[in-house]
Amino acid sequence: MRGTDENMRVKSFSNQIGRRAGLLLDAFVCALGAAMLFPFLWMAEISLRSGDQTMSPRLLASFPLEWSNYRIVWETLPLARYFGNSLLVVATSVAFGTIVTICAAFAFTHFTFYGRKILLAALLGTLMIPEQLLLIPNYMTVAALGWTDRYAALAVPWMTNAFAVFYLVQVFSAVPREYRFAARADGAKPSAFLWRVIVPLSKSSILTLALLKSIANWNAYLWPLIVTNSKEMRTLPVGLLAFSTEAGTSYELLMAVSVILVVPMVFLYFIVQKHLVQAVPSVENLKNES
Amino acid sequence: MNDKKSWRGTWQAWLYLMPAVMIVAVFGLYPVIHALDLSLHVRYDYYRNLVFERGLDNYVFIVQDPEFRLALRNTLLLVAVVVPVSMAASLAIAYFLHTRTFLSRWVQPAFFLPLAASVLAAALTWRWLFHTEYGAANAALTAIGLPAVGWLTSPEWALPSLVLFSVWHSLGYNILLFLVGMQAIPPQYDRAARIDGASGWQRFRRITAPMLGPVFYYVSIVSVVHAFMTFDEAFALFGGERAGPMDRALTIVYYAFRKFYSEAEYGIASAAAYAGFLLVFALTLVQLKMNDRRGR
Repeated sequence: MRGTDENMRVKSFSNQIGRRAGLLLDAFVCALGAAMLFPFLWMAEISLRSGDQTMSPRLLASFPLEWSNYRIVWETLPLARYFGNSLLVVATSVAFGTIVTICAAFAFTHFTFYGRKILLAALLGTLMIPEQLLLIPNYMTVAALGWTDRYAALAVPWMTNAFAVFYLVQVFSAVPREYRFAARADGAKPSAFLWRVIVPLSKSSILTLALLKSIANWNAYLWPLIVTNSKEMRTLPVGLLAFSTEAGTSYELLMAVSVILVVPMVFLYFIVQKHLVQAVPSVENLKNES
Repeated sequence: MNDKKSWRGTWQAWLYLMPAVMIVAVFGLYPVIHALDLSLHVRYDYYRNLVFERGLDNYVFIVQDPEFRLALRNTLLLVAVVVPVSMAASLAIAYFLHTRTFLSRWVQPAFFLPLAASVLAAALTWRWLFHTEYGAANAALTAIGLPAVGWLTSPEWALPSLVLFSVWHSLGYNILLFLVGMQAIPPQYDRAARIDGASGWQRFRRITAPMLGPVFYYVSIVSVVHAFMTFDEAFALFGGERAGPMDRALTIVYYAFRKFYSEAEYGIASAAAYAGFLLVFALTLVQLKMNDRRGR
């Protein structure tokens, strides 16, 4: 049934705009997709060239492929260390951040309590604040806490924010209230209701949030650059940034590091992708909630 | 939520809220006030945490600083070009991906890749694509008989290069939001219109576009804020002390970053960041008003 429906849509769309125009449109969008993809292909391609071939604007300038570039950067930079730092920071920050956000959103949707209005207003107030404004004062806070050059400075400050909380508040409010009544009638504690009912029901949205947080955290370079001094504490992007000024003309090595930086998140994105589309917040609901 | 407020419920709720509230309070709310205070510090000793004088001098300074004016001009240009171009392109691409379903499964990933990839890594590649002598961009230009361009090395091309890169980088996110918005529209409307003989354009104009209103509005606000606060893209593309040749790609946040990171002028940097924030806040309020006036 569904299949025929899809077919009908496609066919009818083609009929409307004419078969040839449709094919032309397809070709155009495919070309556009290729153009979007081109920088990544270029990046991967250059990372496999030998050092004397990077200047050539020709595609596939050098055979055989120089896989050794990857070994060189892995060994000469402390790339394993950078990679480990990034992994550690993203894992702790996203894991704790997600739990903390889930708990906060649950408090708003499950309990009636004193201070709710004020708290919502305060959170709403920070919703519009761009991250860039927070950079300098947060740097000073981190310095005052003695966190400079420590993992805490990398992981804690951006664990959660108003947007994440509001997003989950909206998702959790979509759970029918009958579930809550039933849970209460069965004598379930709030914590059991949260982790056994609400969280499994909201899996897609929580995964989406965690993915977006992971991507932002993994790719962030400005904040780690500001709060780290020593080479040992660099995350992968900061390592790449430092290397980009040291590498000189060794572009193939620079591109090898770039590929190592890009691949994990792209991989993660495609694993989680099928959940994404079901889970983007609608502004209407967000507005109603506040 | 019909339950009465109770102290027991309050206690439990705050227990759940505490970690998030602490993080948001310390790293999300307090810095807003702290930054305002910093921007008013005129004479101070940061290392001993002493402030001798507060005033508006930092704001006066940035208004008179030609560098800041350049940054403001560039930022406004970026917003004026990147936002409409990126939104129009992503709307068109999303509509295509939505209607030509059989192809979209294969093409989609290409548009979403920049979403997940590091700006820094992408920008380093673009630096190479934009290279005056060896880059693919100039190779393509000369191949079709156009003169080569100093993408990243000539003052007049610095900002256009940044615009190109920013549009490319912002497409994925916008397409994703539009696509999700389109998929949330009940297909019955479209089918009914088709039975009534509405053309593809008519259906887009009369059904998809109006139903997409809230998403469109959300994307426009997020895009304006993002473009206004451009830093990552510019720093990654040009890197270093100067924001491109003769600072021609300097943005407000870039300016603030430089004052803070290279010159340790915390007061001036905070004033610049705050000025940027207030401007984008005002812009958002205008957008909100426009949306309200449109009535729905």
